[in-house]
Amino acid sequence: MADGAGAGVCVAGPRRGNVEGIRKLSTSRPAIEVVGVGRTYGSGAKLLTALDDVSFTVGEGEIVALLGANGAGKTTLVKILSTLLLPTAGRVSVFGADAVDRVKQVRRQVGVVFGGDRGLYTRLSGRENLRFFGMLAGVSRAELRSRAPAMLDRVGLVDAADRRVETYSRGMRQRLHIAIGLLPRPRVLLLDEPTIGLDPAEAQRLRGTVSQLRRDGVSVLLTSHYLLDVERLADRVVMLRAGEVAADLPLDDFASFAGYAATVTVTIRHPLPELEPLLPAGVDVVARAETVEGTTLELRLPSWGGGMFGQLGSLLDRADVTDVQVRAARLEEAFTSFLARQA
Amino acid sequence: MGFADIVRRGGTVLDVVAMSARMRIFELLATPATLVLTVIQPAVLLLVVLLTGEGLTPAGTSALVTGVLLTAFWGATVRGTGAVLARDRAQGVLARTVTGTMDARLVVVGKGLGAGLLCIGQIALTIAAILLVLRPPMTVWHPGWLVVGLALALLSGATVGLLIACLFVLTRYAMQISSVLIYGVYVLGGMLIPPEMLPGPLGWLSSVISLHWLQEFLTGSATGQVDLSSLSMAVVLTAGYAVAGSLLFTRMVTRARSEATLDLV
Repeated sequence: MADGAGAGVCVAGPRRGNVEGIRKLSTSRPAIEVVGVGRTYGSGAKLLTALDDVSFTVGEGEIVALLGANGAGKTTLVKILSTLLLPTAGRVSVFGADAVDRVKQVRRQVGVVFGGDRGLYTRLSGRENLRFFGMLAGVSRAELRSRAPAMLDRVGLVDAADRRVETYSRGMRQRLHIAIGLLPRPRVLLLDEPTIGLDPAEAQRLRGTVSQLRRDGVSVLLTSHYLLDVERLADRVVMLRAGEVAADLPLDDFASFAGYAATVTVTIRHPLPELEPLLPAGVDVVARAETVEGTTLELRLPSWGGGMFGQLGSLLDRADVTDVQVRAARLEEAFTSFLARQA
Repeated sequence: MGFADIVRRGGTVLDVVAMSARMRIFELLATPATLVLTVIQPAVLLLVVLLTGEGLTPAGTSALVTGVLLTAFWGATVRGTGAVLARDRAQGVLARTVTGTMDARLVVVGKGLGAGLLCIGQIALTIAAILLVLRPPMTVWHPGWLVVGLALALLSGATVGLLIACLFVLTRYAMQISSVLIYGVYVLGGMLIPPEMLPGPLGWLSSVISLHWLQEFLTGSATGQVDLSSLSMAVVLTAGYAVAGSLLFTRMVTRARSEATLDLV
């Protein structure tokens, strides 16, 4: 997607920013270092390998997305990083502190947002939950006094702060989880499905918050099935498959697994059977529909540059075009394509 | 670590304990079973022993009242603190509790203290109300020793609660174990049935139950004979429960992390 920076109307800005981020981070020390990590469950005939020789790093201020199909080992890895689970092989460290031997030091630096409906005291208010978990994370009383209201404001829960959590919607609970995760000012944040249950506006606000964290130097390991989160936030993608690292790539390189840069959907008033042979090389017609309004063609563009635009534009100038829609290749298409190739 | 750091750290520890206690009190107040255990049960027990007892002496009444107080407290302790960790796990908060930088045992002990405080308060009020109505002949405790005894009962309940809470998480037979613990201690604890009336081979069991010694102490202090050796035994046993509970908790978390046999999330 090197020449595709201008393609995605919605992603061009953030992606360009991410690339700069990677350049900046290339000299920074790793915030998270995962070296040859393995984890098995059970024993004997019932031995199940959840992770096998997994290695990768996350730089300071970098946002890395951990992707994989269900059962790929993402949750196991997040549990190991959050010190909930011990690895059976390999080493995990956070800013040099080993997650097995120096647990407390790791816990001081890592914030975790597990997400979902659970993980909160439902009979207590949002403020009480925030204060309690803040205290458990080692936030001092003085800091709690100043930061708890600020966090509630940041996630938009000021008005509901004194209501019992059992009255909260799923999105409000999720926002409270995020406030709890951010309250101790972690240097590393593990985000597990952060936008689950959030409406589009809330999800966008959360993405803004995470972007701000990157600017503050916080490293983020993001696990999400909503690939829009990954597309908007991540610098890099680590793809797990059957417990192994199947890919560790910059986001744009991973996105190229979709096999095309963009889709152009054109509606032409009159059928033009001769259009297809005239299309620039590499442009495929992937769908064609005849309706009373005319013919709708879905074209996939291999790259996204001035030349391609020019050729396509001059071609469409000859037709009676009634509608054109351009959409950048989505990350989920890259994800699906990658999994299919691996299979 | 300087003095200021120690003070700050101590303040945070107290905050965690107090907040955990408060949290458990709110939870129990919203649970109808609490009313049964802390109001109805002690009321019924006390009415039975007072209304059916003939020729009760003031000292005998004080012993019975102490027995009812501690018996009801024990039942409420097992139910109120035993389920703490299992409930936290069901709510999904246990993971965050054990991965905090503060010791998670403080949370369990805090919740045990909260449960104990609520239970002992409600039981004491229930008993006081019945005594005010029936006005049986009885000796009155020295307030200072009564406070010492009740405070130790509270502490003992919280530490034994830590032990039981771990046990409940580690086994799938929590309900059965809680019944054995509640009724076993009712019968063998010497709080309602004097230990000398128990079959010989079982008599020694009451000596490892802190509430038995607390009853000895509280009954003695009501009759003007302060039995410091009983108080010491209760202190020693409470410390023993604390150590055992602490070790079991550490074992539970270590096992959860290494063997993944407990899903803490």
